[in-house]
Amino acid sequence: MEGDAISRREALKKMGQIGIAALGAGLVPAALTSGEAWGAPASKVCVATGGNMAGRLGKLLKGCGGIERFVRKGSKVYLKPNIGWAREPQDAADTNPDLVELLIRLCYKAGAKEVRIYENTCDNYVYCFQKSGIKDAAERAGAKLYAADSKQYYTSIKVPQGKALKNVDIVKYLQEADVFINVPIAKNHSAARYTLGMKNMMGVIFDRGYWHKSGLDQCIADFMTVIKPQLTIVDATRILMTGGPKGPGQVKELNTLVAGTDFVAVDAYASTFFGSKGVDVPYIRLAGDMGLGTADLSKIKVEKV
Amino acid sequence: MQHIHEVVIQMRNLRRAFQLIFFLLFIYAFLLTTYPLKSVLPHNLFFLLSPLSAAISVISAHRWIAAFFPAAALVIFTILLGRFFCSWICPFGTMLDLVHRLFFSGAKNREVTFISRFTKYYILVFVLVTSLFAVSPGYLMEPVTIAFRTMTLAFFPSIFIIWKSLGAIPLPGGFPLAPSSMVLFAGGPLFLAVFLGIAFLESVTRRFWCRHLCPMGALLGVCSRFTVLHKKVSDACVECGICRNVCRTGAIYPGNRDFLPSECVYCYDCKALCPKKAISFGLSKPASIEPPVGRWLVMKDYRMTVGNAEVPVLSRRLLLVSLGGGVLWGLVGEADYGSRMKYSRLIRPPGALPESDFTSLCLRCGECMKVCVTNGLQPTLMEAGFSGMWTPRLVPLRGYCEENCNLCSQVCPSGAIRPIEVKEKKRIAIGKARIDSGKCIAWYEGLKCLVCDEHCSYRAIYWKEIRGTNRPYVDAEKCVGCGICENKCPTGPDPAIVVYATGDVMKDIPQL
Repeated sequence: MEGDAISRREALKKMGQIGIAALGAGLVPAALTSGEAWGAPASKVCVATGGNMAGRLGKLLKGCGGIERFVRKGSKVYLKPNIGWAREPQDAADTNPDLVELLIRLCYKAGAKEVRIYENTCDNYVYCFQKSGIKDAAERAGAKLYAADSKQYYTSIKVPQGKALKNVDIVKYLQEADVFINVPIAKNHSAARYTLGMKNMMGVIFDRGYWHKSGLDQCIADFMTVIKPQLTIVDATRILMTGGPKGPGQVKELNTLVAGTDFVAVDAYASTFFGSKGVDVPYIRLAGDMGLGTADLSKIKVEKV
Repeated sequence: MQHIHEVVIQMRNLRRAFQLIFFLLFIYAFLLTTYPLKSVLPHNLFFLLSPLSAAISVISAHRWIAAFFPAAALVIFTILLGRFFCSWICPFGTMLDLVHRLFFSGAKNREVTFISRFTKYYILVFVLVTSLFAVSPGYLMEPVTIAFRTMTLAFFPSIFIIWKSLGAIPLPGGFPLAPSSMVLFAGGPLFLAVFLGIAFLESVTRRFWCRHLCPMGALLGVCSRFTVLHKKVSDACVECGICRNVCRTGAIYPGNRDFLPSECVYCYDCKALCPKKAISFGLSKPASIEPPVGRWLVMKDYRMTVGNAEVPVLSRRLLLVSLGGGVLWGLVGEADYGSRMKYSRLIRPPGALPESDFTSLCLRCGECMKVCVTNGLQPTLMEAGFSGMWTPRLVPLRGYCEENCNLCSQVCPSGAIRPIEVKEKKRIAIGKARIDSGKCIAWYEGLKCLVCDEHCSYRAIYWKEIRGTNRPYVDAEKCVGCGICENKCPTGPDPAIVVYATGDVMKDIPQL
């Protein structure tokens, strides 16, 4: 009996060692596995500022582990910029066309089989595609651009965890694509306060009016329970400070890009460009509460590259 | 005497080639009358060529409209060379020929007696006289207009569906057939019925419309009176009657060697099919073997005996009747209350002239409705009164007026929608939006909406937070009535924000 007894100190030491070992065992595999582990306990968001677009994007993607982490050889990529409005690049209402073009090219360089862009525009699509410069950008870089303006592009899915949204019509290609990359532009928004990554998802559904009638913020959060982009890149090259989402309004040049795999954390961080604290934006707080990502800025690791 | 048409190329085949080319050109121009509206020739070329459209528009406007120079040129050519337009160029004529060949080729080419050739002249006088007043019903009777309007309002919605189901192959330049997700027009079956009614007359006799009803044919017939191209029938003629049977407008009447020059459309079928090669067209005056039936006889009684036949002639009495009838119709039209009522939901496109000038000049051709990128321009029935029937109005629920677009003002052939730059267009108020706070889900239910504000290109919606919800207001100074708010309002089908027309539509012409 006496030989087997452990002193209190020894017991505490042993528990400490096991504890550290367990912690280490938990952390090490987490560090080794790519991407998914970022969600817990601290989310990571990469930010690149300054320089030209190509340089900025390069550093940003490197910080995220490289485009190859998301786009494998033979991948079908659904790229989702914001092309909702018939505005020109300097009006900061749509995603910067240079960013879109660069991304398409990088996807192909990483071995993508095809890159497609589907957008359910708000204004008439011929003017949106033309004025934003994204029609030409997609043509030059070899991506197919579609206006998802009629039911034929959509399929209906259920939202089992949805509180306000129970089912929704989504662009069919979402189910065919291997990779879904969200490339919104950061803007002020009259109804939703700010439109960043999660709000940009309203361009892949058919009936936006329903969300407005059923509780906009809750629907935005509900949707993210079923559709999760692997990577979100927020275009903050120029941001729209007032009069959003269509403008015209005050444009601020930030020459910044924000990226991450946690779409809630990316949105929370990007909202700080407007002086927000993330959680004071209703849909960001709701998404955080539903466990879809980290909305608390204090828990988000910001890596400036 | 040298006959200029004794050449290797058969004139009939040349005519057929031109007829085909012009028809394909018409279809091509029709299909390309959409965003981005870029081509070498003007899209409304066929209207600018039409002397009847020119006459109606010029008389209605009380001034010459420069765009119609091609029509003036055509008149000169017709004076010299005869009424060739009807078989070489006119798209409606070609459509009727197609209908005849496809459905009524067995019908005998017979002379109709219950209605005379000269009915179309009385219709022409009626149309021209009523143009002096408020509104001419000429739009109902002008062939290029009928052709284009039928194509747009009756056939295009179906063409669009077929195009989409065949994979939506882009037009030259990579653009869609129409930029809206669907093309719909109010009252399509009505316009189809008008076309079918005229087409069905082909079962009675070939080119019934062209012989008896078409005021353009009448106008060109008058011009061709002075033509230098004469038909000559040589002695080789054995009066077999083949030429008379094939003549599509029945210009060989009443006898086999007789000829009505103002009816001839210079299709050269008779010349090609004459087994004795007895027919020729040339500069020489015909020998006096032909009786002077083509002479313009304006007599009190409207019949004349030629040989053994009684043929109708232009009657002075009936001309006066059509003139008087036109005046009466015009006066009654001026008193049409419906067109003066200013219906509050009658929204005209930006650039439209003040209402009374608009309904006078509008040809109801369908060009603007075809080109409208959002499919918002729809034909009226009674919304503009009887005199305003079939003119275009903006229906925001169907399509709003796109901020960066001025295509309708570019295609209007008569200038009822005057050509304006996009910069000017953005400052013309075609209406004003009003919010019904009893319907608005932000006002009435405290929901988070503001879709109207989101979509407004002119920042004409502002909002205030009231009892925890942002509620929208319209800034009437900034609102131009484009209708995008009404179009996107999720409260539909009864939108909470609605555009009302602003009286005599043009608010002011801004200083640029």
